[in-house]
Amino acid sequence: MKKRLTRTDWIILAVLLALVAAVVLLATQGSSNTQGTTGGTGNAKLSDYAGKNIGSVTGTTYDEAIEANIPDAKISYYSSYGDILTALLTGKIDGFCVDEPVLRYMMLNSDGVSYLQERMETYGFAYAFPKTAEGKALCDEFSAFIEQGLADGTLRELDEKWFGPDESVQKSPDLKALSADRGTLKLIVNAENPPFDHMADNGIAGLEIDIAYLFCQKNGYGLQLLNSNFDAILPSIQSGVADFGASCITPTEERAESVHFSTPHYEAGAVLAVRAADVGVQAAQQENKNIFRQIADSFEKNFIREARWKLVLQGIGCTCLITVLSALFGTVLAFLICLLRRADSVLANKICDFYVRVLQGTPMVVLLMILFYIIFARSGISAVAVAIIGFTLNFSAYASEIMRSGIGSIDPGQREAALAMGYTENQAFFRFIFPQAAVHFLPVYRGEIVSLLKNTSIVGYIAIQDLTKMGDIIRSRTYEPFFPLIATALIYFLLAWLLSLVMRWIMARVDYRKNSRKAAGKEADAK
Amino acid sequence: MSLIKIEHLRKEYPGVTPLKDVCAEIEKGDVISIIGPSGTGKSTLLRCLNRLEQPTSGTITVNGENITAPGCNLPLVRRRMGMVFQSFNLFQNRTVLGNITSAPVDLLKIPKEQAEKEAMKLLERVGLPDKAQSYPQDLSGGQKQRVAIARAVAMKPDILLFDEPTSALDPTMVGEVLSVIKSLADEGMTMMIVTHEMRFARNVSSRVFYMDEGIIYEDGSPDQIFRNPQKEKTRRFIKQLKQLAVEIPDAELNYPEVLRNLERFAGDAMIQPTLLRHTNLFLEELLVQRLIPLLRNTPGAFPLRITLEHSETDETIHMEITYGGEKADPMADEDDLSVVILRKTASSIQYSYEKENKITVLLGAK
Repeated sequence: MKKRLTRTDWIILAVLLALVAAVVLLATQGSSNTQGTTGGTGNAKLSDYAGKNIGSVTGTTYDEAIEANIPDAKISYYSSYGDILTALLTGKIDGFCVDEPVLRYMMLNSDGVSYLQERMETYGFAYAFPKTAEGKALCDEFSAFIEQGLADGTLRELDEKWFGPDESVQKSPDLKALSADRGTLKLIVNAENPPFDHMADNGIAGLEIDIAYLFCQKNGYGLQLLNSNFDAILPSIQSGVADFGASCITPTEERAESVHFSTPHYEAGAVLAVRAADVGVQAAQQENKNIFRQIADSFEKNFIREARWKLVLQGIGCTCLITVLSALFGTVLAFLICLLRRADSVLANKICDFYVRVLQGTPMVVLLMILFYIIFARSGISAVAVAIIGFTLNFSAYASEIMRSGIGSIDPGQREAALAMGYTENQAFFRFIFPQAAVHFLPVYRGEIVSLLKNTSIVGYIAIQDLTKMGDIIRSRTYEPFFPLIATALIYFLLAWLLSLVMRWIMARVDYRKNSRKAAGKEADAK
Repeated sequence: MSLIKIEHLRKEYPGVTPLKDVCAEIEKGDVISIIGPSGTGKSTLLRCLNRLEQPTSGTITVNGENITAPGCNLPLVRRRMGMVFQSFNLFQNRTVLGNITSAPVDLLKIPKEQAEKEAMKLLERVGLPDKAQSYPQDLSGGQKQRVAIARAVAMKPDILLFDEPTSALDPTMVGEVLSVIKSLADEGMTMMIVTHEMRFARNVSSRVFYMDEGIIYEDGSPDQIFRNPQKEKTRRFIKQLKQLAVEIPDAELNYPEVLRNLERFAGDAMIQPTLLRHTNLFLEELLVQRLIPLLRNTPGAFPLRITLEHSETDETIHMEITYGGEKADPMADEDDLSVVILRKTASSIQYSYEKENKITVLLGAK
């Protein structure tokens, strides 16, 4: 008999359709605000923005500039320029403080933004070095290079290259061509600051990368590039993860207490970015594209241009690597913890208890940063390895609790029967108790693995380019939140689904109850 | 040399001491039923024998080896002692065949084919050859327990310990399990069985331990224990007697109060409604119509004492009524209507006078 939809089914369907339509409407409304403008002009003053919501990127000194220039501004913090621009265009904030060159670059990609002529402050960008004797020496050497470059026009040439329209020359330098006679230097940047530091199709590229490259070339160093959140750059330099760092860093007295700064290589100024429409800048009439054309363009820009899909693939690989290895090691560790807890030792039990409590009570992001910036800071272990260690620890704590409750659910009679027959405690555990417990705890364990996969999305905090981070990087280049975010979510969903399938297969293999049903079926057939 | 020798075995838990001082010798071929009220340490005794419980003190010697000594190889000792549990405890993750062959293959290193052949023979003996590939969860309680017995026998132990093997079963399944145990007894297997099945204990075992007060209270042949118990507690347990004592202090009788006592007792002792009705009728007639008027003016007659004893096995009530004063037989007037009713209601009434008046009544006997 065919199943027909009941009236309830129809009502549910209608509600679902209405919800989808509402979400689509809401989402497209935000993007339709984006209208073309010409350059940054207008007669508005900074004081016009008194008392308004103003954004600042975390880890910058813009909040001070905002306080000094805009009375009573309410400051909100965002972690990347992609986010802050979206916040501005969707009306969450009324303006944000940004470097003039960065904003210029943004305006190439997004039409709805403009800026006030009145500057908040002017300052330079410099490279940061560790506060050690070697750091000081390197810093002086670098400063000499910058001064010479300013004098002989090398830096101006670079400026023209990176702010110019010709994208074909804007590539990552060939790091392998460096001689590295005097060792390899690690440069840490936040690759979300085009055109200073950003992801090009062949790696991290930008004005600051080129300067560092020329310096290394001239002075006989090799160069290795690290990418991390902006907030993580100075801590990485201090803890020795990197030899120097850049990313439009402004020297301040406070920062100079923890790092050395080179001579500034770029004179910039902070401006207030605002919605173009608010300052009366005439929007350039956009050609009327249909919605499919827009989607196709958007897709091309986010995934095809500069081979950005490769970034996504790399991100997936990284996320999978961390998830799978952490799950494997974490399971082994969890099993060992379980065995320790079963052992007849009060001390071992207390230690295991403490371990589980501590790890369950620590936010994963914090644990990860402690491992990366404190414990393994100088050990030279790669960030991915640190992430695997961190997630292994975290997962083992949860998995061991899951296993323990599974083992606890097994009737103590099973153990007694095994002992009464002459099995030892260990034989009883491995042959009868654990295999039965596995059937009980695997469904919960499967959920825990899926949540491990999703939790790995925070590894961007320790300079790992996983799937989420790659999405951020693409957003910071294209200034379009829609496709990168939706695609990231979809990919996570697919990965979780795949993981679930694998776990289901494992569960079917260990489930003796399934064999029982099969046997019952066979018997019925025989009759 | 006896197979098992238990000396001054004591087991204490915080707050309770189920075993105080147990001494016994078990010979090869003995089939011992352990009976007694619940909470008297019957199961604890079995579980101490294979050291699933740690005895507090005392020694257990099996085949001349002291298994309570430190450093004793428990797994080896336990291979020689099979155990069948009240809750079966079949391995849920093994088939019926796997349950029976696992220990012989894993522990005795018997080749798998041979173990399976022997297991099939055992399954045929317990009547379940077609269930070899089933999992325990697909069996009925009786089937599970038969498999559990086959599993214990497969290790060819010196002794089998049964811990209330039929207590968790439907009444309809008790028989199939008991008959398997009986067939093992007929083959000369040494067994100890904690059981509440009195008929089984009486017919199958060669010895009966009555356990009470933390010791083996009485140890004897089934005939002795069931027909002629030496001790009062044993007798009461065997007859499954329950007692009620009522005292009437003076002639101002509150019969509803007496009736309430009687009804509560009837509920506890599961007295048949007909028997209760007869008892009530008898008591009321005797007290209200005969005794109270008779004794009202007799000095020293009160208090009047009534003792009721219900035997669950016989479904009878045995009643004794005693009172002081001079000789006063309420049944003397044979023509009185009440006396006729009383004689018709009771199976027997006897009156005697020996320092005090005593009426002995039996109700419910056919």
